[in-house]
Amino acid sequence: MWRYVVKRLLLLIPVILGAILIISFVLSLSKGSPAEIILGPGFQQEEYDEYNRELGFSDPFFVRYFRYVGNLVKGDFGTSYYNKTSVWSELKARIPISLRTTFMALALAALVGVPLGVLTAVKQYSMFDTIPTAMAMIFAATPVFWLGMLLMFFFAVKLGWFSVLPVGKFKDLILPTLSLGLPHAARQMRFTRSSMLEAIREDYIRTARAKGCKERTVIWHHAVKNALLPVITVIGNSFGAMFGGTVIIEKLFVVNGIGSLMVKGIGNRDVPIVTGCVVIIALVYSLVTMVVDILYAYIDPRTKARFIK
Amino acid sequence: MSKKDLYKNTDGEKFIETDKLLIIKNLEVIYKTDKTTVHAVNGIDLELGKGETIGLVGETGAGKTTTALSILRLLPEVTAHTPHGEIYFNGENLIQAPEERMRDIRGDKISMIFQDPMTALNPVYTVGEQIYEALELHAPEHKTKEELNARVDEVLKMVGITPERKNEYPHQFSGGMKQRVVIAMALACEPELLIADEPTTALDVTIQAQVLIMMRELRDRLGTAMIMITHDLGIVAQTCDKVAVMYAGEIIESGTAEDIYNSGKRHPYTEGLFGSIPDLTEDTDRLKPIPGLMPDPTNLPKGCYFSPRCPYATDKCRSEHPPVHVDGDHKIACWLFAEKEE
Amino acid sequence: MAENTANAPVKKKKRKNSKLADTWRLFKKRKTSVLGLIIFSIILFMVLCAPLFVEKSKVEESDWEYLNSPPVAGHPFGTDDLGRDLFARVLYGGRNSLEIGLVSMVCALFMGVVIGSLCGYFGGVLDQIVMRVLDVLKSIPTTVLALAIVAALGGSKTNLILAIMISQTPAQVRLVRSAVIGIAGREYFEAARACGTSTPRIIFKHIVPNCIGTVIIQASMAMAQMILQAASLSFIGLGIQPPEPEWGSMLSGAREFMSSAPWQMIFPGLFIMLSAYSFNLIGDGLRDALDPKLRS
Repeated sequence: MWRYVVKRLLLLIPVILGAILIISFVLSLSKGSPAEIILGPGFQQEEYDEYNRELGFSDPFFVRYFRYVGNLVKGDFGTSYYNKTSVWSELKARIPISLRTTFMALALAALVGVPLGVLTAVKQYSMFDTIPTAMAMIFAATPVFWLGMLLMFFFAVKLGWFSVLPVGKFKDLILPTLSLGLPHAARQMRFTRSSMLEAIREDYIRTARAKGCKERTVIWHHAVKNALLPVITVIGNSFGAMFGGTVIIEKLFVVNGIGSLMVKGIGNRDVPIVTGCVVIIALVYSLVTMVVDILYAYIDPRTKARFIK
Repeated sequence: MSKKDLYKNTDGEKFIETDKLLIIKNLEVIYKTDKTTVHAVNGIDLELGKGETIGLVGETGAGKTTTALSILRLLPEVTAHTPHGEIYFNGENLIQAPEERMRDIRGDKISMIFQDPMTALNPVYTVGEQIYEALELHAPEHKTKEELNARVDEVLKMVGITPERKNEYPHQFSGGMKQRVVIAMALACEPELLIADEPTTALDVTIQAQVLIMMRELRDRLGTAMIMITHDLGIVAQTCDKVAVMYAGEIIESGTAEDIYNSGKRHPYTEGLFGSIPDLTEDTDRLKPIPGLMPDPTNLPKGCYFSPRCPYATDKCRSEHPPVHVDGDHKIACWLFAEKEE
Repeated sequence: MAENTANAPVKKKKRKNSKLADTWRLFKKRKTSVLGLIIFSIILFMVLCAPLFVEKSKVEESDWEYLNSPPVAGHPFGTDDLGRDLFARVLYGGRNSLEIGLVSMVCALFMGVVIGSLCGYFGGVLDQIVMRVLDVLKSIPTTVLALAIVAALGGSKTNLILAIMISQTPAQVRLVRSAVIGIAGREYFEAARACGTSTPRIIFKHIVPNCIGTVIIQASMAMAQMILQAASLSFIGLGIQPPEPEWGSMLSGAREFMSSAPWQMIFPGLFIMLSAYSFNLIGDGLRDALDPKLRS
């Protein structure tokens, strides 16, 4: 077991290095040098050159890449172009905020989506199937930010249950969580439903019936456990999509998380900030994927036997 | 449509007096999908005494498995219908029995072994748990956990698996071993009737013989009646007292094994089946396969269903359904023999 | 037997169209899929034939008598803060939104088919390299990747398409690759190889027809995803630049007037949702009709 965990942790290193490479490359395509951004219009040429030299911007791409990685190992995410603060100090405060929203949305999506998925599969063709399925179709097609705006309009503007300009209280997390979580709840419901429908058609279900099991036992004991195995992976993937979705939702709800930091960084053309945000997002997502894979390996006896010796 | 409606038909009594274990009368099963109606079983009659073994023989798609599933009432709910027919088990009409009653019967009085042991076991539970469940469902209330666990060990030993392996998962067993587990599970409650649906088809040839011999021994020891579904006449010869040959959802010939194997009279289809197996005692160069394919069950031919492939077919065969020729226990549905009588 | 041979030529003629007819029959069995097709047709008609409903000039023309007006006779969807007709902006903006979705879907799918089938068919080093790159890309959520790309390249329609295409390609590659590998492992494929069939022939006769279903289903589902993604990026302000209309950026503008002019956010959002919704419904129907696994 531990060998597997260590192996997965080591595999994270090339993935993160690759992610940094990709994002550095993408951002290196942006127009303008840091000096231009820092100094603003009307700068002196010497000043400009000096800044570029100081930031190492005149070095070739790969030199800059390895320097960034080297600094990163030391825990140094670089310095913001815009307000000259250390990127890590900006990130540090915001990571928990975004993680909290994402995990709450994930919990909502899983707690609503998975049981509904099982229910709709079991009651296939009845109204307990058609109504939730139709609802899920609509939610899966709703853009998170539009859902957020509608929720904000009804619950904050019209009903006044929430403040329009949130201050960071727990209550202020409810609307972002709902708008991030509901579309994913719909997706997880749809996935659980089809996984469950597949499981119900398996031969071992017929075996269970032939044993004389009650229909309830057949479903909840024999089908659900099998059907939920692939759902675990999907929930893990949802985490990534939701964590990415905070970029949009945080802007809408004025939440001070990584997502809004990234958008702000893009607006200011603040490359270190944007890179830092992407690296953190990639790292957290990879860690979550890893935990999910390990969990899967642990729950599924077929993989468990292979990994845990 | 609820499950109960599906099986409800007005034919037959709820109970009849009989000393036979199983009587199937005029059973018909159809599968209805949006576009087509598949006539899977078309009015079959079958009788089985206590402790007897009957071989249900036929090609793939002849309706053997459908017949077996309808005895347990495990046909797919959405598509399958039984327009008429009766299935009496110990005199009780299963077609009309309530679902709760069926649950008591399944696994306890009638068990089934499925064709593919690879998929028949639930991959996320240990084999011990799965056998335990079968026992627990039908155990009398006073049985303790320890007694049931001891019984799990016992049945595993019975099928030649060391009880220590009960904590392993199905994927840790080979195909033959999995089928042994399935058999152990089916026999755990000592059922009166065991339905074995091609129990050895998915196994290697060497394993096939082992499993078959074991099943025969267990049947003799426990006195279980058995329906052996197979397309292999060799297996039938080794295990069965009686034989029923199915073709396109009908039993076209039935009788004792003696009748089918050694009497001079055979349905042309049965004849063809024998022609399809190599005979080592005879010096033939080639096998004689039956020409053509089974008729499309959504569009059965007029007259005798076998007539398009039958070398003896006459115009009468193609237009009228053949009557059953009866000679003691031996029944043949063919114009060939009906005409001889006239 | 005689009857069968007599029937044969007739049957053959029928078969020519039967695949398409069969697909349509299975597709329309699902009423919701037909609904999806209808919804999309209506949206497409309204967007493509927008000049039938309202002149193009209305998109940027301000009606100073109606600022932030709710729906009225001349302005069925109301007006925005500059007095521009929202009906015109939604219809003409739809051209941008749908174009971005459609073009990036086709491009991503094309990349997916080419790279995915090469990897799946030939395997080996190429496959290894591509898969490792995909593993890396998987660690960056698509929204974040697309955001970074438009941020670097600057907001424009082409860059938006490029960003969405690049961020969605990995998923398509994986899908096509696994479909091809699934087919390459089957027996009829082995049989074709054993018969000495040439590689291009195997690809076009056996692999392409067998994964085309997967690709078509995916195209529909991906289209929904990409419409949503394009809208998200525009919403952040990184897509189509104003005053050019686009559904996502219209919502971004509507946010300010949420309490005073809530209708501004209704229609653009509704159109995004209905487009994505209709593509998901169509995709479900196509799956019913084309997925060989469900065809039993």
